[in-house]
Amino acid sequence: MKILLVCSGGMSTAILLTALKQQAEKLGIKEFIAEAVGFENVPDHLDGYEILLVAPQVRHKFNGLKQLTDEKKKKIYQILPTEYAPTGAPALMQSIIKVLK
Amino acid sequence: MSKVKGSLKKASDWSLNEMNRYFTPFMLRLSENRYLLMIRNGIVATIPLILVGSFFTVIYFFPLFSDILVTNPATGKEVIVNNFGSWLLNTGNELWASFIMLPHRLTMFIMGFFAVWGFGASLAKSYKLDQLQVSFVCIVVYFASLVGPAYAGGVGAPTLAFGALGTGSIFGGIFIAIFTVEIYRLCIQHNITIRLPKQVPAVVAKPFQTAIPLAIAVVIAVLVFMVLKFDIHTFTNQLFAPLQEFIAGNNAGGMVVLILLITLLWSAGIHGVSVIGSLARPFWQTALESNTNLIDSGKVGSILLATDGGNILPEGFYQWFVWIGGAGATIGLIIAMLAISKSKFGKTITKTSAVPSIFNINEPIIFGFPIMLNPVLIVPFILAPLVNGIITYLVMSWGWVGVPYTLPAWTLPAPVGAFFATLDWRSIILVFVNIAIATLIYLPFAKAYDRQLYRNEVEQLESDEKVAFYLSKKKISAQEYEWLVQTHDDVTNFIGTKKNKYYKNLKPIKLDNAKKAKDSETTSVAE
Repeated sequence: MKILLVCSGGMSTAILLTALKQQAEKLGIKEFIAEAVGFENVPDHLDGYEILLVAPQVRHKFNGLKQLTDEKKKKIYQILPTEYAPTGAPALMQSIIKVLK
Repeated sequence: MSKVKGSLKKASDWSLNEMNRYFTPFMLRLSENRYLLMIRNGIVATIPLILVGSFFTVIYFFPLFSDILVTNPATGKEVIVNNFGSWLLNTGNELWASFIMLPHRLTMFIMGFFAVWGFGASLAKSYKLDQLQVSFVCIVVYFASLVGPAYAGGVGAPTLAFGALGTGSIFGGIFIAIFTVEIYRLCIQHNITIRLPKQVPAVVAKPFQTAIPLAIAVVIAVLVFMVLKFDIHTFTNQLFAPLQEFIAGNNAGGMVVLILLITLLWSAGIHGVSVIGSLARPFWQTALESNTNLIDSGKVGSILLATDGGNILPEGFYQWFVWIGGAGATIGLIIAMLAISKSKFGKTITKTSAVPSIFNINEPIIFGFPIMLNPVLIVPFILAPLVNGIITYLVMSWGWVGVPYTLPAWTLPAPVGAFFATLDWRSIILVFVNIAIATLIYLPFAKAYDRQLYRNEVEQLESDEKVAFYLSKKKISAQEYEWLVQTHDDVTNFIGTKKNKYYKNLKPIKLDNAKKAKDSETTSVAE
């Protein structure tokens, strides 16, 4: 599972990333690789990841980012506000698994 | 009472809906505008230069040894005088003073130059043009705008004051970049370029594309700036002066509007500072630069007061004194929740978001509690920053605390960042006062919301768990007591023996139910 997370500066998604890592360990997901970036840096980082997760506070960037992921044939998912909460990591992990299927 | 509450709730739901329907999409469309994005990205690209430039200013003006002993020639006595200089100069380290100051002059001091470069490159990127080549053209036109008006009549090398490359040329630079990139784009679009045979490799062919757009741009630029002597920088600065004055001049109205816009966007779950910042950052930067220039002039010392002409409202004002713990001054919510939270959910969210909060990251709070679209918490989320902003504005405008003139990294804890932004130790006190005020503003709302969460949690418990839970408490409320009596009068006997606040209330009931209680004592859940 190779995940790229995007928010405004890559700071708050970095927090989410730690929680997702724990979930991945719990579920025994192999090869969990994830990175958090600000939206400016998405084009340079997208290669090598399977899916782009968009933080709710930058959801206005979703359409622009979708063009990019479509071009590069990557999946994209809009994180729900509830999944972005500190307690939302398990739900988010389930959504990711569903999208990647 | 409940009627009033109901209509209040209706009103707040309505306003949230309307906001989501009109205000938020409008602000977003505005912030997604191609030229505004160009400004935003161009300015953001220069932030490393400002960070490093500020760092050297902080060292240069670090508040040490600014008081020196001087012999008063009239009385022959030695007196302490604040000579408003750098500690490096005061201690006679002139070479090292230059060593520290030159990096500042080479970075932050010539912000305009880098901003124009950034504008050109980012607009080129959005049109998928060659960024390097477009930047060349932009810089040529930019220099033409600076030296053109004074060059007429000469043929030698033009002279250019280094200071002309400062923030004074940012607004003009915006138009220069748009003009240049659009010419470049039109030429490429209509194939007005030098086309080399297809066998020529792209690395060689690409630079040739630039020749014609460059020639057109430079001819127009020289015509406008030199022949017509159009000083675009003076012109645009005058044009933008009212906006500059409103957004980042010493203007409390502009501050209130910015705080409202940013907190309203966040209330809808959109990154307010990112959206509004893209519009306001050039103005913030100009205000910051004008503060740095005042400090550089050496007339005011290492602390810049608003009463000495300092701008109160560069971005640091919001970053360190208003958005403490993140937009909405949510550090206040965290402290309030730490003090009063009873609900499991509230405690969990508070615990997990407390540490990021110290470093001004509050998305876990905004989406966790959540504050977003939450009619209870949105009120203090808007109110606390407003009050903090107004207090800070007043305190700074009275000259009690210095204004920000450097740009420390935004993830520093607020008291630390505030000190390095102003080099005034009093700013630390102001930050703590603001934190206390934000906490007080959040407190009643946090309490109301937490109680709501708590009640829901208890409601969801199985009946038996609920009884056990109530019995484990030191105090139970009249309401909880009522529930117990109505549903489980068998356990009231047990409650009656507990030394709690309702002990007295319970006693008579205990007597009433003594018989029943005795019979069912063995089945009491508490066992």
